[in-house]
Amino acid sequence: MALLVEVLDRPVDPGYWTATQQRREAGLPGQTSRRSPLLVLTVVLLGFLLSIAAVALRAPDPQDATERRELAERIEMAGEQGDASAARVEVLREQVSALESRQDNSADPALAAALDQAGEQAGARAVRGPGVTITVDDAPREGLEDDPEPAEPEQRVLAADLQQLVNGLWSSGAEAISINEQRLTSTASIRFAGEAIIVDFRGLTRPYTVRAIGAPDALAGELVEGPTGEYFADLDAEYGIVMTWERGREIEVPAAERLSTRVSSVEDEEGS
Amino acid sequence: MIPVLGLVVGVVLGLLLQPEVPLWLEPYLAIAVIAALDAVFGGVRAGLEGVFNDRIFVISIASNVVVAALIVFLGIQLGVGAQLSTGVVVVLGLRIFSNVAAIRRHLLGA
Repeated sequence: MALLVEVLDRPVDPGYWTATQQRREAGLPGQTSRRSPLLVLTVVLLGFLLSIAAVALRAPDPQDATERRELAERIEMAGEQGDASAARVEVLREQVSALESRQDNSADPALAAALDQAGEQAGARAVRGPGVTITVDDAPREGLEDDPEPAEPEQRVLAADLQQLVNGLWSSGAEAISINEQRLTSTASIRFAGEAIIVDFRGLTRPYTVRAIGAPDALAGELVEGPTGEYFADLDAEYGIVMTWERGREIEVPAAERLSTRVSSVEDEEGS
Repeated sequence: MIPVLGLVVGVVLGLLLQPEVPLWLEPYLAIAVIAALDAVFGGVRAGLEGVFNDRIFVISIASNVVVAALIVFLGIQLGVGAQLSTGVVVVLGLRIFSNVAAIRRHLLGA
């Protein structure tokens, strides 16, 4: 109750009353002047404190927000341009291969076959065929499926895990591999950038779907009994990382997006 | 009138100079402002009741700010800075409200 009374009906600061009484006893007026330099100085300081506090603590800083929005817009625009360019690359590549096949059929069937094979190996053409589809994902968290917070760092799939998987698949005879629709070529890399996995300079999000074309039995054997299978069994036991796979008769691995000509030479003589 | 003018001058000065506030000072700044506001309303009320004294006014502001900053500092050292800041804001807020209520009674008679 005392606290409530104090809060609701607080008397003016007792110091003021004592000071006034002392001044009255000394024969002075009860109040001091409103123009004393001390008061004016204090009040100026107070105003200064108020405005710097308002300026410093105002959040969120509108200038920052504008810059952030502009950055986000620029990123989105660049992403759209990139997507448009990728689509155009796809169209042009189809035109090129159509032209090539028209020319090669008339000229040299052996050359056409060699070109086809080279295209498949370099990742310039989409490949279809039997193989396995593997899905790798972070450890599930019970009842927290909708939680946007990422899992514990050690319960996430790392770039090294995907590298292990892909190397295992190559070594058991895979002919073409893609991760989340990104074809792995001889120059593609699997890396970490911050917390995201980057495949061939493209950031991927979980779950990671790996498609591998090759002899399904050999690939499945590697995934069950081979070193890759053991590696993922350990990951599952230690951290709960999920790896599932299935065979497929007709799997499609897309062509690589980022292909460029690095070396070329002019034929010396006609037909040589 | 002159104190109000002084306040305006101070605000304008702050807006014109815009001094850089170091990051570690920011938690104290908010608390200091609220503590100073409490002292200001106390001073206004004293003025209306005819017992204003500039020395007491300055001392009450200074002690309010120092004590509030000390409490927040202690809170930060103990790891409960946010909670203690909230406590300080609640107490000072209640005091501001009761002072403003008294000022209102003096000015409006209600």
